[in-house]
Amino acid sequence: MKLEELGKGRIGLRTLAYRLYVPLASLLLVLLAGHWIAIRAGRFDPETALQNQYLRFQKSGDAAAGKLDGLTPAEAAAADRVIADWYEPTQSNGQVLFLGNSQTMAINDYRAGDMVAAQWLQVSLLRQIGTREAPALVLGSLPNITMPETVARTVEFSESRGRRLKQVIVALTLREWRGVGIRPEVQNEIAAHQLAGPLAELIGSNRDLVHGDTVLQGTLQALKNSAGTAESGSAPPVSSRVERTLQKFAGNNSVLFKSRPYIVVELFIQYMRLRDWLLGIKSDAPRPIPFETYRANLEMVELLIRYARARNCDLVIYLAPIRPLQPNPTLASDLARFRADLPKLCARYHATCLDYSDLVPETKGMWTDYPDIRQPDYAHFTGAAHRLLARRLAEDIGSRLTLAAAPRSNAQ
Amino acid sequence: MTFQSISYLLFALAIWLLAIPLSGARSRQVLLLAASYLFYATWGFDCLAILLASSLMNYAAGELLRKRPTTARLCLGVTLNLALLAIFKYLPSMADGASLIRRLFMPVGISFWTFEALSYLFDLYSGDEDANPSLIEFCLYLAFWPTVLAGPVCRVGEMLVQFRREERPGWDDVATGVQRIVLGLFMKLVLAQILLEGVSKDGGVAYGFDQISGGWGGVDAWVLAIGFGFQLFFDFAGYSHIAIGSARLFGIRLPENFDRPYLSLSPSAFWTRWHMSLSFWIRDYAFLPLAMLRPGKWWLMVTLALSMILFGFWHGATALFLLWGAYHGALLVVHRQIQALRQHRKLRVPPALDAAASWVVTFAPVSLGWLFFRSRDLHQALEMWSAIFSPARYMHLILRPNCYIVTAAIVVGYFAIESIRPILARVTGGERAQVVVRALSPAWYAAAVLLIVAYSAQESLFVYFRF
Repeated sequence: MKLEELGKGRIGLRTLAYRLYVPLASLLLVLLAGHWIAIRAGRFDPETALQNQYLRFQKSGDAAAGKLDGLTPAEAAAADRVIADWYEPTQSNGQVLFLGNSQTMAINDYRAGDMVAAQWLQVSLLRQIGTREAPALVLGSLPNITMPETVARTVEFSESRGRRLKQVIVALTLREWRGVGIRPEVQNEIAAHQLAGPLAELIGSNRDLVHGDTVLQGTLQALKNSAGTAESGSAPPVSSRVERTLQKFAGNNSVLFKSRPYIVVELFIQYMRLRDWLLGIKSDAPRPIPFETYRANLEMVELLIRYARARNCDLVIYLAPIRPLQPNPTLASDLARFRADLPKLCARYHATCLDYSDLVPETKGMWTDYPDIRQPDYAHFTGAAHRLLARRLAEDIGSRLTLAAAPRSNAQ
Repeated sequence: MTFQSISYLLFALAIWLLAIPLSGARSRQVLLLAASYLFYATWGFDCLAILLASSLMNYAAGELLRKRPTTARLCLGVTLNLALLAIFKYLPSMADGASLIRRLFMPVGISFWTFEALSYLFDLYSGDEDANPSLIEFCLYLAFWPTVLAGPVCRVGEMLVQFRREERPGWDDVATGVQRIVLGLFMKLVLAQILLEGVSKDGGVAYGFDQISGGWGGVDAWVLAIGFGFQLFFDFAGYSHIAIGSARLFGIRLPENFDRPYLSLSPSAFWTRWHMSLSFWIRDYAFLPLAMLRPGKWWLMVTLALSMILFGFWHGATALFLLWGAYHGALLVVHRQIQALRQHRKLRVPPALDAAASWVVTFAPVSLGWLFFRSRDLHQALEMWSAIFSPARYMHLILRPNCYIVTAAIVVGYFAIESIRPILARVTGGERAQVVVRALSPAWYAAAVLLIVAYSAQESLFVYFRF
């Protein structure tokens, strides 16, 4: 059948309907199903959904809304600023970057007024030395943050804040040492903030850390490939700009395009549910750490320590609390190796290493089980445990934070 | 502009709408050429300048050959093309970091359109009377946008007939074109992307190859080799579907590039089903002329090996690509020897067992060959190979569980679909079954389109844009 025959009326209605059935029905289905999926996907918080429904990720405004424990408005506002996304303080005080996985960002069995450890630490600093003098804490954590992501985020923060970054507090969680990947969002951050240069420089000046370097090299190579290989001549700005504008337009005008990331997350969640159901995987399933990824992660810690030293920045590493419950997804042999290697490495560079792995006891109100599936949550704790952790951090490093992060005028 | 972008879809639609009212072949050629240059210019005006220079140079060389097809004139044309490839593709990768040559960029698709130009010169030299394009036709042949970035590698004769056709595209052309574009996008954006990146970070083959510095176990090496083989297949076959579908919208049929290569029962069969347009090019313009130079079986084997090394070298001047080509050359030589031995001994094996064993001894070595193709360096490739042959290392796993699960699911799913396809074809051959299939097909298309849209937020280029 020729297309022009359509216009000349030579095609019968039946033939036309037969021909158009598949494209039109497909289009209709795409529109209807797409709308339904997009609306459904847009309803959930991907961060919460990826973990569990009893876990609440702390949001900006929670502290001010909670008004517990006699927080002054200034303290509540400061606590809220800690978790505002990459908050840029206007004051000239020093800044402290706090990095970790979802344990540092989320609260189990949340009650109004609960805060995460970084927020309590900020309040504690304010109380010690006052609003004008206290350093500003910035929580740069990510769920399931890996060591390469920790390094990338530290470099990103340091490059954008320059000398105002005084301290970095890193919560190391053993379960995240099973991998060394960098998620696309962090790769986009690296590209957007033009961190490929500083990272390449970091690799170049630490050639002895072969395994750690390989990880970052892989990321830089991936960035290079996705931007269009240098050899191929990368896509020129005009066409990239046109495409970006079209994508933005589609995102603004179509609910389906807008909710693309959520749909992918929802697909991932469904896949994980199916996988866990089929393979009988529970929260206490052992999560062994292959030697090679352990070694690469350890080298990434060393890279971070060297970077911090070169930047004249005080680095504090703490081993994140582990739920003292057996069976435990963290293997005892892995934990023993971790507890032995980390302090040794930090001691070599005179960096601070705090072992909080058994800080939070298995007492009521500290940890939670998932009521619906009767499985313990080994990764996250409650508001009370966050407060306990913050108190301990304030005791151990509070004085150093206030000293080193004093306003520039005072420091000079 | 890449094939998986919104701008490309709008571009293709706009050109199609402009082309449909055109009645003459010449006006359609002019429109397609202008559109092709516009498309290629989005990769850089410097790239376009090189393509234009190559088109004019090859057309002039062709005219010289047409007047008097001498070996000297052919050599001149071939040398000029190889020089172009050497300057922009091979020398920069071999030069040291500081030199000026290193800073030269490679125009995307240069290997593809240079090989198209070479085949034109070879065809003229061999007296092919169908190779008689006008300047516009020849420029369109090299720059035709569905093929300019990564093939399929076309022949001038088969394209000219279609460029000169006065007829407009039919309904079937458009329907098939759209179907193939949707299938290609699904293969690239969903399947290849999931294999590459995994469903979560650390879950894909990119992680296994690029971010782990060593210590792969035997299972890891197999999963990465097979996973990458399928990622490359979905990526490049997906690209080919979009290219073929885009051309089909205008009634132009491009040569196929893939024909279920992983179902091949011998390495020779694999190379007639994988990147077919290039492997046929190598067969016609390298293997056959070389093989005819001397009689004797040993020379045939040498020619096979040399042709496959050329295949590897076409991808890049690296030890790994050469090794990959040589490895496939060795596979073809071994396969020929086994064939000869079987014929000589008159071995009889039950057909089903024969087919199963042939598939295993084809699929496994072909998959292992990808380790040379994809590894970061020779050291990594050799370490992965040693993991394959060390039984003790099969107890050691280094990848994330999702990598094994997702790769296995996609690979097994692919083979399951390919296995039931003949059965489905038989079942749906009847008229009633056809009606049911047609009634249900919108659901398949809608699901594919929704998945394409969901995964379209991620940006990644086609693997073969590098070559």
